[in-house]
Amino acid sequence: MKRMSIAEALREGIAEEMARDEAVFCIGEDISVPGGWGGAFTVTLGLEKLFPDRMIDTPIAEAGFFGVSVGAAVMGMRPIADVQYGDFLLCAMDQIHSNASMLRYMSGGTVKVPMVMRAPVGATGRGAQHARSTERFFVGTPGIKVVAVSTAYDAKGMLKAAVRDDNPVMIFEHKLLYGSKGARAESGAVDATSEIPEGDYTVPLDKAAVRREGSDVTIIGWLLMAHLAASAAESLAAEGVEADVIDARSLSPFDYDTIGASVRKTGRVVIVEEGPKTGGVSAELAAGIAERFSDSLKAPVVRVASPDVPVPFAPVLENAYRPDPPRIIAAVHGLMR
Amino acid sequence: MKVKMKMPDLGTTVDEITVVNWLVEVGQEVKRGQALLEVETDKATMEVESFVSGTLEEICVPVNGVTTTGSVIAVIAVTDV
Amino acid sequence: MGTDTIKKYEKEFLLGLYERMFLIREFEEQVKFLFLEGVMPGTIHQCQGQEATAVGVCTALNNDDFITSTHRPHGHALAKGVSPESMLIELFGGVTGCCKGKGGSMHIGDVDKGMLPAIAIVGGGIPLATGMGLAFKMKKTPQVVATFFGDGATSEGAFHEGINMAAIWDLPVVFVCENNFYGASTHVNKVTRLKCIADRAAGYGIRGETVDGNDVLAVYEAAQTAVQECRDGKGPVLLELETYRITGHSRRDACQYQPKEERERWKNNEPIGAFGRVLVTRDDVDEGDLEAIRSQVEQTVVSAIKVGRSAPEPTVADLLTDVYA
Repeated sequence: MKRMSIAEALREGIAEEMARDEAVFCIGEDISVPGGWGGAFTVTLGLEKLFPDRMIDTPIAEAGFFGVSVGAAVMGMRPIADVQYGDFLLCAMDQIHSNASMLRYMSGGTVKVPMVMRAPVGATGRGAQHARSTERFFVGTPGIKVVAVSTAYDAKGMLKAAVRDDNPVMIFEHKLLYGSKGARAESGAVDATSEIPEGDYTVPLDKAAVRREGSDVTIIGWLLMAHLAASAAESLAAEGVEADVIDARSLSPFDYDTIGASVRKTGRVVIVEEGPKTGGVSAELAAGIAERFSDSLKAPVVRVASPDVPVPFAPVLENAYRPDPPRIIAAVHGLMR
Repeated sequence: MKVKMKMPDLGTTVDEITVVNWLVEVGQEVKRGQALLEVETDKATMEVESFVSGTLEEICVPVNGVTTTGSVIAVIAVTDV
Repeated sequence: MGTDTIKKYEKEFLLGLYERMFLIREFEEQVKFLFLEGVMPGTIHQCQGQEATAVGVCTALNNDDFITSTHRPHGHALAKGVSPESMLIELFGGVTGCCKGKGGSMHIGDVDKGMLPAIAIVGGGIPLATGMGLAFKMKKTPQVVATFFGDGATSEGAFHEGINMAAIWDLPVVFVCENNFYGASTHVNKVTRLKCIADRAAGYGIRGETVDGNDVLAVYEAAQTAVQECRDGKGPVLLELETYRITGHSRRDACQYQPKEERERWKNNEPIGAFGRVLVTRDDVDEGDLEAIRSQVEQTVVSAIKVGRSAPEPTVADLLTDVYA
């Protein structure tokens, strides 16, 4: 066992998969330039020394290299494509939505697209265009699996599972959770390190994780919000309210087995999402819960999300934008009344 | 076999299509792709080609008659292949 | 296409080119009238007049080489060896079609024949081809990919990004621009100041060449040279093939934007007739040989249509399959 950050765990997972399978390669901007940063958040730092022929630095051309990844994948390679910021996925949207997600279906199942996409999201002092929570644009895209990793253990295990999966898998990561060091360290970072066991392991791409058990209310979050939900749950416990905290982790498909078991137990649900409330991932999740488990619900599902505005710059505004433990606690109080 | 030839979708933006002239007479042989008639739409005057090869048996819309997309305009007797 | 060039080749090879071009023409004409009759679902984008580009390029490729195609893919598919039957079943929405009835006209393809399902977003297939070329290079296989696109696609960002990456990594990709002078109804002169699309190659530091796209042997020879350069690690190459669509952009298009004299000029120079006229200058080919080929191809297409019309439809259960591997 050794303690690792998400960035370190992803790096180790990528290196192990590249060593295991020669078809695996990394492609992206600034991922393996000697003297560079190993991608925007140090995840691929130094991997070019281990795999000089399979670390491909691209021009600044997201549509291009996501399309390149799809083309390589259909020819039997297993690309891991990453963007520096999740916002840049929108430049590659046609290649992801029209090609990666649809080629298998429109080929009548004769083509497979085994590619991994990695994207850092979250509001972190950079203003509006390097800050969006872009999960919402991929949940509800048939043909793509979507996961969000909030611990180093999951990051490594889900990355490895994604590489071995024969479908396009989008992995969302949060800038405040990487544990990036030195010049790439983030102000306001949250500890997401884990004990990483020796040897190979994977984490399924379709299972939520119960982070804390309680019988009064279910709080569901992912990425940074899973951590803030756990923090809010500790405060609630001090006043005698026991919360189940679920890290949704798999955003497409949702793990309604795990979520349902909790909802049946508590009958009360708070979903926490970083990102505008309207049309968000939590909207889909709330509807899915209502459709499946309305008999168990003692009150309507409550969402805690960002207001419907772009991500602001000024720290005071950004803090107001991002859901925080006091807002989660207030939502639970409202439900328990 | 008799084929009822319908007015094809000419991409017009109006419903009414006027027959200007028939280029083939009843009883004549026609080839697939051969211009059968001229019509006028909002866009222009254009030719309508026969879908099949065979003998023109009946003209269903006379000159200056008005028809619509999908309506039968002619009957053509084709030899089965 | 001179009478000297035509003597360089074996008779069978030349008649094979003629047969494949005529197969495309006959397939497209029959399909056009099936649509006009209203018996075929959906929409179509056809390539009558552009047969020489598909056949010339695909003849220069091996079976295990790949192509990517566009919303106008029937000719490319037939030229690469996808069977007319499996295509017609697909066009009729049959479950035994080349894409199980889930692709349709705009996504025709068959990976076993070296053709990815056609990408119908303009320019969208170009980066894919670059990625396929990257895979061939990383796997150290001698394969080449040819990516077809129209003049309209060269205004897309995907064209720029895809071709630039193929250039910087020396990938085995032949970028085949079928310049038919119209992006849908808009003339190429309205969308670029360049007189020649092949000149764009200079912007990427690669070789570009403009070829008479209605001369099947000229296309074949240019493609063969480009493919060999790619196999030798000297790729990529941009080929501009000048040709003309003597049919509508899609099924409801009467081509009112094509000047009549321009259209007539190109019709008189359509590639099948032009090739036939040169073919019969050989001592060992006469009009009877060509007529025999044409009637055999007509029979092939007629029986493929019969198969297509009677193919079973997918069941509703098929709606939910083939989303994930």
